[in-house]
Amino acid sequence: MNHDRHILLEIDELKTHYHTPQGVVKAVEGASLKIREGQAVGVVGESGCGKSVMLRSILRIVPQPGKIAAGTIRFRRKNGEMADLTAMDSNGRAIRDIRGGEIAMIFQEPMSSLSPVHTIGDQIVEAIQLHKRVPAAKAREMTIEILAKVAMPRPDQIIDQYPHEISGGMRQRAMIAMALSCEPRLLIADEPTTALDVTTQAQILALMRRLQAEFGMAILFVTHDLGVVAQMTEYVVVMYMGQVVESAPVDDIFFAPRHPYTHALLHSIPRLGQRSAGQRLEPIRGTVPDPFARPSGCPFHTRCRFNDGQRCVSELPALREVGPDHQARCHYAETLGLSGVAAPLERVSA
Amino acid sequence: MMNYAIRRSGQMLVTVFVISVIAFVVIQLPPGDFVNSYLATLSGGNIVTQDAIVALRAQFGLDENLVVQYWRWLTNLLQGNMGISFQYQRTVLDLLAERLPLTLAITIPTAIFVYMVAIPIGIYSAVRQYSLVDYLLSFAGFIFLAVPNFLIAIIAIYIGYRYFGGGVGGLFSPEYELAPWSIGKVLNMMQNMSLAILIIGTSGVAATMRVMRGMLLDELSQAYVETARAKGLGEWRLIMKYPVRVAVSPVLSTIGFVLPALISGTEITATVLNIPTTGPLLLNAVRSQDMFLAASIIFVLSILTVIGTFISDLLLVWADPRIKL
Ligand SMILES: Nc1ncnc2c1ncn2[C@@H]1O[C@H](COP(=O)(O)OP(=O)(O)OP(=O)(O)O)[C@@H](O)[C@H]1O
Ligand code: SF4
Ligand SMILES: [Mg+2]
Repeated sequence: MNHDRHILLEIDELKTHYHTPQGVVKAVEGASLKIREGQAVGVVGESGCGKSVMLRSILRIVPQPGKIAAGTIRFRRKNGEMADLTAMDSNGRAIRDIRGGEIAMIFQEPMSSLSPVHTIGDQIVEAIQLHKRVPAAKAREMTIEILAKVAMPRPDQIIDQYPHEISGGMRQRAMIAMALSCEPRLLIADEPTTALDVTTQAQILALMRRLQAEFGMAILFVTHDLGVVAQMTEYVVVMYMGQVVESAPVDDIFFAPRHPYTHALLHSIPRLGQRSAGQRLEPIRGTVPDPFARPSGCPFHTRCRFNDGQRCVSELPALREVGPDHQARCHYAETLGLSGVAAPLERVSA
Repeated sequence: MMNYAIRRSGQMLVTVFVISVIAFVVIQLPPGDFVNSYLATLSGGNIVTQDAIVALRAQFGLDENLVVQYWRWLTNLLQGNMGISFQYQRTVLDLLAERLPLTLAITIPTAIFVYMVAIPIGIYSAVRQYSLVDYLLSFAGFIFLAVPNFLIAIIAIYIGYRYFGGGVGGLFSPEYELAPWSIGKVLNMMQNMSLAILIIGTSGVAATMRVMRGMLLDELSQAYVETARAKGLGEWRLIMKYPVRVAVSPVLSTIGFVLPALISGTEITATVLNIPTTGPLLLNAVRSQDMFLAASIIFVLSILTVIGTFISDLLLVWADPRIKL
């Protein structure tokens, strides 16, 4: 059923590197994924695996000294034409029309993501006027409307308030309102609820789900929380050391993972009832290797239980089709017979 | 805002009172008084009788105790009567009216010059951090910060004398010195003043530029800058609207301590450059214990500084909504 929807964004073998005085950090080193129109895609992986850098690469806002070194990011514009975002000037007209206008982004820190010296209204009105030719009064009206849509209490008052005058949850609502103000077709959310308390988190997630349905937009959603993945997304991308190592529909990821890293990630998480049943948690063995000394062959071989000591340490596996709409980057993806888990009901961090 | 302004005004009054006491007392500290130094300057050999000295003291009110002297000085001051300069035999008000405008005419444009030059340079340095231009600007900044203004003034005088064949000091070039007022004379004065402004302003520019650069660097990496970028704003436009806006208000508020530095810088440099501001007057007054004059100058300059700080505080409150009143 996914296949009747157009591909909205297609990242192919993206490499984004940071040239630091200590050497090159290959933050993203071969990331590929597809997002279809209206699809909710989750991105998971341990801290430092390159999720945020990949998201910033899409919008071409990778901060210095980061640079896209290779790969393509193709995006379907409003007029249906596929444009390669990596070919654009990062401060040029073309990408700036897309930023905010067609692809919007919300960040993790609601505390610092809004300017402390401008009112909420100022910042949203600006976004609207950047992408729509409307007079100031109309933009203000639209701002109040969109604030009401994100269930902001008293939108006609909040619009004139400063970020420090409202709560973290309300700030994140304001960020979402700003992101949605120009009706983007893709919303990128980098851990949008991590900084919020559990109750607020649940409210914001419910809000995002409702708005996604209402606006019919696609979402690319980074989270550490596999519970959120199960609840929010239909497709999941797993990253390890800058690479996409597995991507599949959410049920396949949970019930039939094909990559040992995904498997380890799933089994390192406590699930409801598990403790009482006396089952042991299996933390992922070892630690993430030093980014300056990437392992040869398969980057996961230093921690993989199935490392064969030969191909795994010498040959980089390619991301390949291992099932319907299911890719994995492991030499033995088809033969390992990894066990899945029931989708987690308890909210826990990956 | 209103409450804050009222509260700060109250503090300002207390400050002014303390300053007035300090100005008066400090002037009294050196041994002897004006009569002693006045007598010392009389051509040697003249014998002055003890009676004459007492009469002189009584005439100037120096024989009463300090509190009475201070009180008389202050009450007169509040009525606009700043007393008489012993040395010049004129009212202090007259002398100040002559010189003070020039001090302000140099200090205020210097303050404007400092911020107008330092802020753009600081912004550029921060945005192009570690570029060649940033290195050069920082290096030049350190040098100008390290070299005292009056030294730069002396060097400028030397260069002007040596290579341009003319004096650099004074308010007017020699050919205009005695000429009647004309457009040429005004231009000439502005030209000479602009040199003074340049010299006095350099260390201010160097310091303010560093502060602006540092403040902006902190802000550039803030998340809200990324939000603005993700909105589709152009790079320079977003830098000016967001991080610069946040970084500039504390920089502007440094006027509170830049102003006194500028005023004293003006006074010293003006003395070197032979520009008749209150500087040379103050120096003279202190030297000869012309206490009404000296205390009045210190008092007036300090009040100007306090007012400047007050204004910059109000500006800061207005510019940064996060400051709780
Ligand atoms: N400015 C930078 N200079 C050098 N390396 C950087 C820079 N920014 C990020 N990196 C490197 O890029 C890699 C990926 O970082 P990224 O922020 O994308 O991780 P992440 O998956 O988002 O982690 P988290 O879950 O903690 O947010 C990290 O190894 C990090 O060290
Ligand atoms: S390629 Fe080898 S080391 Fe890498 S995940 Fe597969 S089995 Fe493990
Ligand atoms: Mg991140």
